[in-house]
Amino acid sequence: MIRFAHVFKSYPNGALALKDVSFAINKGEFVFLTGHSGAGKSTILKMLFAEQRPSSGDVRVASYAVQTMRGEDVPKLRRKLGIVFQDFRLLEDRTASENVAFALEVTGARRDTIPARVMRVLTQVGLAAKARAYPRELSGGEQQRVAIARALVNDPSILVADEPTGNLDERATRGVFQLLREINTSGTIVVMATHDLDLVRQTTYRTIEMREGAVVYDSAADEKADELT
Amino acid sequence: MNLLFREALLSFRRAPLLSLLSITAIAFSLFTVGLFGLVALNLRQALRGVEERVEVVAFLLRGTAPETITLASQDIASFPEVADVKFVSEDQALVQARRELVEFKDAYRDLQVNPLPASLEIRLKDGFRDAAHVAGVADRVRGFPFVEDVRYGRDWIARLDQLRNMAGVVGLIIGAAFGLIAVVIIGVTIRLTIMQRAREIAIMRVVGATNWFIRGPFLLEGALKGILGGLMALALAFAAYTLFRGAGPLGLSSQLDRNTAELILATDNLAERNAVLERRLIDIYKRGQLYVYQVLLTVESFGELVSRYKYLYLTSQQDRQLVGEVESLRNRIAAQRNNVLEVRTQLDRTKEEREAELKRYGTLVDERAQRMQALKRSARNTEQQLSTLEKDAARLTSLLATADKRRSDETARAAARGVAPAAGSLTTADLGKLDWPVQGTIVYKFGRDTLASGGVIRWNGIGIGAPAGTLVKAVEGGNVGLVGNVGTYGLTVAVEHGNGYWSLYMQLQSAAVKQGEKVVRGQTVGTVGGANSDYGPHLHFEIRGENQIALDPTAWLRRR
Repeated sequence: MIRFAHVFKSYPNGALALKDVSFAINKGEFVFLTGHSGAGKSTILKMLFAEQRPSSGDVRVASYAVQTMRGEDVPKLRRKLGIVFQDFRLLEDRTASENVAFALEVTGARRDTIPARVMRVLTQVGLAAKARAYPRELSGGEQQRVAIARALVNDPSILVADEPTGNLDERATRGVFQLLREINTSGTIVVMATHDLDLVRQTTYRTIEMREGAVVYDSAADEKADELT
Repeated sequence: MNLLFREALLSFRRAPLLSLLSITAIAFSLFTVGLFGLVALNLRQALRGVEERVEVVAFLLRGTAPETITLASQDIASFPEVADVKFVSEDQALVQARRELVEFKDAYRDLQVNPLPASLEIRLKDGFRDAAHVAGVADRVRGFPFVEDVRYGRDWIARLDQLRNMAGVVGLIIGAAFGLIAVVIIGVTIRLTIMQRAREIAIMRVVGATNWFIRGPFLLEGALKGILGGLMALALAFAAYTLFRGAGPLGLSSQLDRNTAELILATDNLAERNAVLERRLIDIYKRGQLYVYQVLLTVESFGELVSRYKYLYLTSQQDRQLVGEVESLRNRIAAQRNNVLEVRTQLDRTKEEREAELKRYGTLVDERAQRMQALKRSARNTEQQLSTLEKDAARLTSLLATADKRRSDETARAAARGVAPAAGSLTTADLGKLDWPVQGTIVYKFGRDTLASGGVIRWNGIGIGAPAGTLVKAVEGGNVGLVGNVGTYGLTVAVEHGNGYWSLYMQLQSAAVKQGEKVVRGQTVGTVGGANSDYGPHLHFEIRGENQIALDPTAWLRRR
C-alpha cells in the first residue's frame, strides 16, 4: 500500500530533509514514526498525502506514484486517506457533525446519504451525543475524536496521524490512541508520527525512527534480521 | 452545484460589510465608466447636430434692396465651396428666433418693432467644412458693402474633429481604467475572503476537495459581486440620466423664474433697459443656438471650460432677468396709463380738449419717452389723490366734530332746561349685530391699504361694492347730522346715533334724507354711487366712535 524507495527530499535552500529513505507498509499495519523535531517525520507524512513530492526516489501510496502524479489526481488520493493533525484543524463556526459532514460535502457525496454516514462515524468515535456541539464546547480529546471521525468518514484505507496526541493530556491520549488501534483492527493502515515514547513502548507495533532525514531504526527490518539470524 | 451557491452566499452572510463595501466600490467605478459613456454619447449627438449646421451667416444692413440681395446671393452661390445660399428676411428671422431661442420666446413675442436683421445663410459643401475654407468664404462675403456682420465658428470647427476623436479615445482610456479598477477591487475582495478562509481552504484540500470545488464558490462570489455592482451602477447611471435629461444639454432652458417684483416707482431706466434688451436680443439671435457649443469647444483647459460655462450661465440668467424686468415695467406702465386716462376723461369734457387728448394718446402709444412722462405724472397724481383723500377725511372729521360740539351744547342746554339727555341708539352691544347698509362684497378693507396707483392709504371705513343705484339702509336709527359733498368721497350722509357714535354713508349717487331728519333702523338714506372711482360703484361706509375715532365697520356688521 505504501512504499518509499530511495527517497530524497531537498529544499531550494540546499537543506536535505530526507536522505535515501526506503520502507514499505502493508495492508493492516500500524506504524509509529518517531524521531526529534526536524528529523523528517512530517516530510514523510506530507509525501503520503502528496503535499510534498520527493526530489528523487519513488513514493507509492495506494497505487499512486506521488513523484509523478498529476495535480488533479491529488484530491483523488486524499479521498482514500484520512488525515489527523496535532491541532485538530476543525472549523470553529460549525458543529461536530457539520465538521464531519463538510468532508463529505466537499468531496461531492450524495446529500441524502450524508447525515447517516456522519452519525455512524460519530458513534464510532463515541461522540454521537455531542454531534451538535461546537469545537469550543468540546475538550481537546473530544475535538481530536471529531477530527478522526472526519478522517474516517470517507472510509479511507490509510489513516495518517501527525502527532494526534501532542496536545492532549494523558487520559485523553489513551482514549485517542485506543480509538486509533480500533480503527487499525478493522483493517485500516495507521501511520502515526509521535514522540511520545511511552505510547510506543506500550505496544509491539512497528516503529520507524528518523534522525536527520534518514531512517535509523525500523523494527520490521529488525524482525526480518531476527528472522534471518 | 447547489452546494456551490450555498457556499458563495455564505460568504456574503459571513462578511456583509465587506461584501457591501466591495459591491459599492465596484458599482461606483462601473458607474464612472457608464457616466463617461453617457457623456461621450451626448457629446457625439451634440457634435453631429453642430456639424450639420456649419455655415456662414452674413447679416445684412437694414434697407438693403431686394435686387441687390438676389444678385449677391447668386454671386455667393457660385463660389466653389458653397452648397447653397438661403435668404432669411427680417420677419423670418423673428419667427426663427421665437422658435429656436425658446428661453427668450416671450421677449421676442413682445417686440413692437422687429430689431432683427435679415441675413444670408450660406451652407458649405461637404469637403469644405474645415476652418480654412470657412474663413475664406467669410472673408469674401464680408467684402460686400451691405453686409453688416459675418458670423461663423472660427477655431471650433477645427476643434470639432479633434474633439470628436479625442472624446472617443479619452472615453475608451478612462473606461478601461475604471474597468480595471473594478477588476482590481473584485480581486482584492476575493483575496481578502480567501485569506479570511485560509483555514477552511486548507481543510478542504486535506479532505480531498478538488481545486475547482474550492475555487467555485469564490468565482461565483466574485461574479455575484460584479453583477450586483453592475446592476447598482446601472441604476445609478439611469438615475443620473433621468435627472439630467429634464435639465437640457446645459441646463440653460430651466424654468424661467418670474418674481412678481415689488413695484418700484423709479422707472426712468425703462428706455435704457429696452435698448439694452434689444441689443441683447439681436446679439442672441446672431449667435444662434450654437454659440453655447462654440464657447465651450474653444476652451484651452478644464478650468477655462468651467469658467466659460459659468459665464454662459450668468449671461443667460441676466438676459432672462432683463426680459423679466422690462416686461414688468411695461405692465406697470400700462396700468398707470389706464389710470391717467381715467382721470383725464373725468377732468376734460370739452370737445377740443378731447381732441387734444386723443392726439396726446396717440403719441403716448407710440413713444416710450412720453409714457415715462405719463408715468411720472401719474405718480404725482397718485400723490395728489392721496393727499386729497386725506384732506377730505380730515374735513369730514372736523365736520363731525362740529356736529358733535353742537349736539353736546344742545344737550347741555336741554339739561339746563331739565330735559334728560336722549340715550344713544348705538352701543357696543350692537357689535357684530348690525345689518349691512347694502349687500355686496368688500372692495377695500378698513385700515392700511395700497392703492392700484401705488400709494399707501389708511381707510377710515370699508368699501362695499354694489351696483349703482342700490338702496343704502341706515344700520341704526338716529339723526341725520350731515348731508353734503365731501371731496373725493362724494355725496355723504352722516347719521348721528348719540354718545358720539356716527355711521357714515359715502360715495352716494343720491341722498334720500335731509339734514336734521330722524331716521329709523333700516330706513333708506340714499343710493349707491361712486361709479367713477377706482373701485367702480361702491358704498364707502364708516362707523365713528367718541371723538370721531374711526372704528372697523366689519366688527359691527353681522358676520356673513
